[in-house]
Amino acid sequence: MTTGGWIFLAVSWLGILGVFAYSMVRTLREKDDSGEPPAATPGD
Amino acid sequence: MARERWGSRLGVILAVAGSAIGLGNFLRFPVQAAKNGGGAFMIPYFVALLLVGLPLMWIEWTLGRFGGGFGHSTAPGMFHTLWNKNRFIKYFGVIGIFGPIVIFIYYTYIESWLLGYSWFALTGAYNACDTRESMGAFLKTYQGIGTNPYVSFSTPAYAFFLITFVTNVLIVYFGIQRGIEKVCKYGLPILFIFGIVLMARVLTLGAPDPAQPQNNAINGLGFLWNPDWSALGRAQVWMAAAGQICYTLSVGIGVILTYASYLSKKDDVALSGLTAAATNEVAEVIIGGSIVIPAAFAFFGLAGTQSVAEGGAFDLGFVTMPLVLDRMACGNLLGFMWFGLLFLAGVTSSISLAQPAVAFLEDEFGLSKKRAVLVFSAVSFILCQPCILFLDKGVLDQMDFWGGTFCLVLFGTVETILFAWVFGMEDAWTQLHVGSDITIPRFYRFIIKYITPVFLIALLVFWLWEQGPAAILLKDVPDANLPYVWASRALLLALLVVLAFMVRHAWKKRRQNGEALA
Repeated sequence: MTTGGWIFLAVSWLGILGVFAYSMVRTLREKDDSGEPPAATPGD
Repeated sequence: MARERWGSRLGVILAVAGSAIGLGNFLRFPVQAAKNGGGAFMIPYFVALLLVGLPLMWIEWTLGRFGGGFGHSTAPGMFHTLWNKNRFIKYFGVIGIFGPIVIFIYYTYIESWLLGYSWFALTGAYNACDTRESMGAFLKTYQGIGTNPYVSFSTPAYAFFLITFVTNVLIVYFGIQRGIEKVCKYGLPILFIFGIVLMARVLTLGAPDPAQPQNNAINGLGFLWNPDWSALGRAQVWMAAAGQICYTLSVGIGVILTYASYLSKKDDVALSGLTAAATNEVAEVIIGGSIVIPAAFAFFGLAGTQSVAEGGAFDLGFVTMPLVLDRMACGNLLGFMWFGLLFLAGVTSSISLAQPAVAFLEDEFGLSKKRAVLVFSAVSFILCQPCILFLDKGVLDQMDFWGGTFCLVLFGTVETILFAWVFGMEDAWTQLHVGSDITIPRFYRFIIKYITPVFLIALLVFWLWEQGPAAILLKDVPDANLPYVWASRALLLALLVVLAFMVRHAWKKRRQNGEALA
């Protein structure tokens, strides 16, 4: 494994784990919502 | 009839992540990365994730929730709602039902092999196979290839297929909350536990043969991650990365549209889409990238791993991995975990492939869940048979080519253009942020409107230019297989036409009943 390989691995893993941890924590922190279906207007 | 809803926010995220996490994460990704520049492959891979994968994820979540508000769970209704002045757009939406059905009919059979091999691993059925040749022969015997000149059939393979098929339709029958959500809520954590255990075991292998210390798992990681900078200059590598992103995130198929249609008005889609994509990436890049290639390298060395990678994903999963795991302590248990992991990944994907067709029958024809599942089961069961019986005749490859490759990119392109250009970026952006827990950076407006469609069109054109002629004109198909291949094409065309007529009929009926069509 070259230094370049380690750098690619570390950056990729840290980036993915960072986004995963951030998004999962935010998701679990927000409470579940449930309500009416979206009352959107059809476009043309 | 009250519309089904997800039971919890985590449930829908795990269901979408479960749909995305499939065999491709653990088998296709490492092979693609190893063949396309190693660590350097990750540059186009992440570029494609940011410019194509995430935008498509958000587009599908938003369109799905939007369409669900009008009682549509599938693309024909959603596309019509978006552009109700165009009477043909709903027929483009047929691809969003056709693609999942086609993938389901071959994917379920492959998934059943994983169930079979989980059982074989526990019982030690393949322990006597100690070379790649003998393990390959074991697989062929299991598939029933070569035992009969006309059909590929074996009783164990068919029995495991029946169990897998019934499991899938039962989960879908139990519905969104009690079926799909429950299975994904339990299945994904188990999958991750199995994956982490296998990854830890492989990375602590060291050098199994002390006489060849260079053959170790860390150098195996190097085989995958050491960058080959010249790869960045090859268009093929960029296209392979974009293809892998579409394939791994399950975007461009239509399943996320259906899952998101069961959300309610206040449910967030921006953060949920990001979380589902991030979960998939953990499974793919971190776990998927740390099992098969490092394990193969430790036992077979550089030349052996190169040959394994060239052999493709099936060879890696069903021939190399059982051999490698068999040589470790507790090999049977590790083998069970490996195939169990893949089976769980398969089930959480295949149920998502079945849901659009079932939802289409429920929404557009007013069928009850029970009747919709029965109709889907009967039709898909019949359609599965050519894949099983003519496995070595190229039927499965045709299904994969049209359903799992061509339709995926075409559908992704159409829905992006509809979202950004027909619906309009202003309305689309507003919809995307309804109930949102995060604010997506504004530059994504530009990306979704211009970059994503251009990237997808380039992918489609490049792919048609590079591989299209050979694939469409069947240049690599042996003459003996041509009748089977043409027959499978006719079958696919018939399915597409039938679905288009069903859409026509459903809309005609609604018009006659005076129902709102949007």
